[in-house]
Amino acid sequence: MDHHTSWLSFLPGYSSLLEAMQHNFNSTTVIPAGGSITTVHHVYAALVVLLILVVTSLIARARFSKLETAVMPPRTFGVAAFFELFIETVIKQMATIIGPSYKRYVPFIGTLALFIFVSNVMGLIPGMLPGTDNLNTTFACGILVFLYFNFHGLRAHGIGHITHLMNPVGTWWGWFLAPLLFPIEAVGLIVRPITLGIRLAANMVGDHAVLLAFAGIIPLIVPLPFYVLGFLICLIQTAVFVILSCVYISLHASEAEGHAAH
Amino acid sequence: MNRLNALLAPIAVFLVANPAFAQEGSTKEHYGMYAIAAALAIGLAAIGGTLGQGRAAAAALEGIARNPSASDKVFTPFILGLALIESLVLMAFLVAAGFLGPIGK
Repeated sequence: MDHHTSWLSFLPGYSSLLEAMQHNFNSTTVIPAGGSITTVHHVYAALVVLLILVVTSLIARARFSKLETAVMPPRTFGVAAFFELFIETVIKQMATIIGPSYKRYVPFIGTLALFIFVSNVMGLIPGMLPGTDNLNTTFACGILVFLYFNFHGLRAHGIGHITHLMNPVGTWWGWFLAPLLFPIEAVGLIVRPITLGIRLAANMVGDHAVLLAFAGIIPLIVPLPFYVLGFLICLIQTAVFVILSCVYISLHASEAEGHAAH
Repeated sequence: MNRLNALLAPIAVFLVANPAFAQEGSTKEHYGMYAIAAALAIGLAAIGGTLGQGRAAAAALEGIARNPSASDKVFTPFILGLALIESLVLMAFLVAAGFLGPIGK
């Protein structure tokens, strides 16, 4: 885990932000590492991803707003085709996991999926770093998912969202077990954003470290299979994040079946 | 069971013979133990992770072999299972390289 230089350091304001962080905080990781490793590339990486996503979605929107070009599939695999493929896959997964009421969760999960995917893939460009290899970014995504599914659980079930943790079966004699069950379920609930964040960040760090190790030995042709592996890892980690978020939403905010059955 | 004992005996000897390391002349106490701990963490995590993922892959391949038309339905839970098993291996990597590594420096 060395100094994290990348092409992002040429953006304006990078060195002054890095200096301010080093001067004031001595590290920018959520868990302060033993040595003071200060990184600000994730801030600029997130901004670059924002710029890329806004520009490409405006291009895709211009295509989909006209009826003739929206219905016919595009001739080459351009921006609109990529968005169509990606969002269709995400929607199919959500419909499988959440059920018929999946439509209200699509904007949040779709945006999260796009952000994580583009952030991950940006790290595959030689010399760039993925924005999601920092625990700050991935914990932010995890905490957002945590707040989101708790909000929808409270919206769908009211206070039943919390009493469900204490008495999942719903019988009158289940309340005697509640003081024992509630800490277990609460810890299981709170550990979800933490594992989501750690899984994504550790995968990106490990993937980049492997790439660096092999590119340091033979820089020319040999790292190519590791780039394929890296792309696969980026895709799979995005998919795992999205699938787990959908599973958490379906566990807590499922309103298709009755409230009595879990 | 005898092989397990033969494997664990040298490790037990290391853990018991701790005072011998204090004479190594490093400025930090138990400097070498951090290195051994990091290597042990990664080694055990790799063993456990490979065994778990091997079982998942074997089950998935058997399912596809029984019913080749179900390969699409088997694929997604298979990849999901692999990623969840791997996330625990990565937590061990995080402990070894993220915590023990910088502490050892």
